[in-house]
Amino acid sequence: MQNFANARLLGCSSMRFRKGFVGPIGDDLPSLVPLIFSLIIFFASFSSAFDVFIGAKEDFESAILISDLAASVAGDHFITSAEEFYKNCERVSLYGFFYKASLIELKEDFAPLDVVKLVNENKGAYKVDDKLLACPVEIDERAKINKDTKLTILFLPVIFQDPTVTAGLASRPMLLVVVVWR
Amino acid sequence: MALAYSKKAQASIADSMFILVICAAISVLLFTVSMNHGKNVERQLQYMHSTEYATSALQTILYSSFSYDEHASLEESKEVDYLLVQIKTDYVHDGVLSDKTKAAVARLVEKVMSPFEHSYDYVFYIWAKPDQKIEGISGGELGFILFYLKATEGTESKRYFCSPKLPKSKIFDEVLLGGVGGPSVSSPVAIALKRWLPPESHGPGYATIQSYAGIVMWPITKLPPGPDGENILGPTNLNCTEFAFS
Repeated sequence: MQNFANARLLGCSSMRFRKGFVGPIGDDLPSLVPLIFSLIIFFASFSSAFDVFIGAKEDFESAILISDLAASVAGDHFITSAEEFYKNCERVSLYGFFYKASLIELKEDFAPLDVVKLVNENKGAYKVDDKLLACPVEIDERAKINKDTKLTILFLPVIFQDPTVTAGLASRPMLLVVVVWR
Repeated sequence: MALAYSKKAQASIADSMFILVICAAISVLLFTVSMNHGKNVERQLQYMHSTEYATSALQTILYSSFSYDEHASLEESKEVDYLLVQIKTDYVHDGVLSDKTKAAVARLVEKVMSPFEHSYDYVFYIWAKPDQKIEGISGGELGFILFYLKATEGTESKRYFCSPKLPKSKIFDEVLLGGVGGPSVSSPVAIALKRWLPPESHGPGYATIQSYAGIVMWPITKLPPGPDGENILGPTNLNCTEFAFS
């Protein structure tokens, strides 16, 4: 009798006093459901937050990269010839990314730019005496982009000394378009 | 005692519900913080790029050529010169820019800012420090030498040349920058303008007027009222006159 009392003090009781008891794990099963659910919610939101932070970090890195790249190509923002433009392009060293830099004509009624065609076919790039103001002029087949490619684009106005105008030479405002992608 | 033992599973459910509530709260917090972080980074990048654009645009405007022939484009004109040369030449005699120079500036500013035509409004200005001590010139003759504004009302964009009655700091710090969201300000470029003040009229001859050119651009939004509660474009504030290309 004394042993039985001690057993009850330890939380043990005969099966006939424990209605609905389905074993040590079975008894905790209902509480496991919200526990697992809360863990799922926590890890899902953690993973989502992590993705946002990584995405923001990548965007920031791309923005810094494209600014540096544009600064290299633009030089002092005064490009005196096509040769100087190509020379500036040669200063660019980029690893793990593809890029395209082009000069396009600035007009008062600026038409929306088709970046895919500009990158793949140089459509819209300014031409001086058969020299396309784009670099690299030819793009690898594997590097070509499509509508779904994630691009980082930067516009920067620069001056280009154009020898093709009627006056012989004029400092014309042009738009330097720099596109970077992986 | 027997009653307490038989309620063990209920206590465990209550604990797990607490964990669920805590996890839900942490998740909401994480979600909000990450969304805000994403938006902040995006806003910062946009600000960085537009500031870079404004600074570059300013250099481009000042060192571009313009056509002496108002009816010919820069490409077709037979006679061209730097816009800054025209501004300096025009300013030297009477300290006022002619309509021809103003139109040339407007045409060039429009061209350079055209990629942002539908998303940003802007001001291009040349400003001379009013506290300069120059014989023959009063402080009232200095201040804004040129103030070109593009403002959007509803869906319509309008251009103005203004002669502001307010000091520069009031316009930019309190009125425009305080009233419009996310402005990007270019680094001002120093320009040494000259003014001919004849010695016969007790002037020093050619006097150097320390001036600055700058661009301020902001995402298209309704302009705030002036400090006196009147229209910001009105004669007591920016004192603007609408400009249209001929």
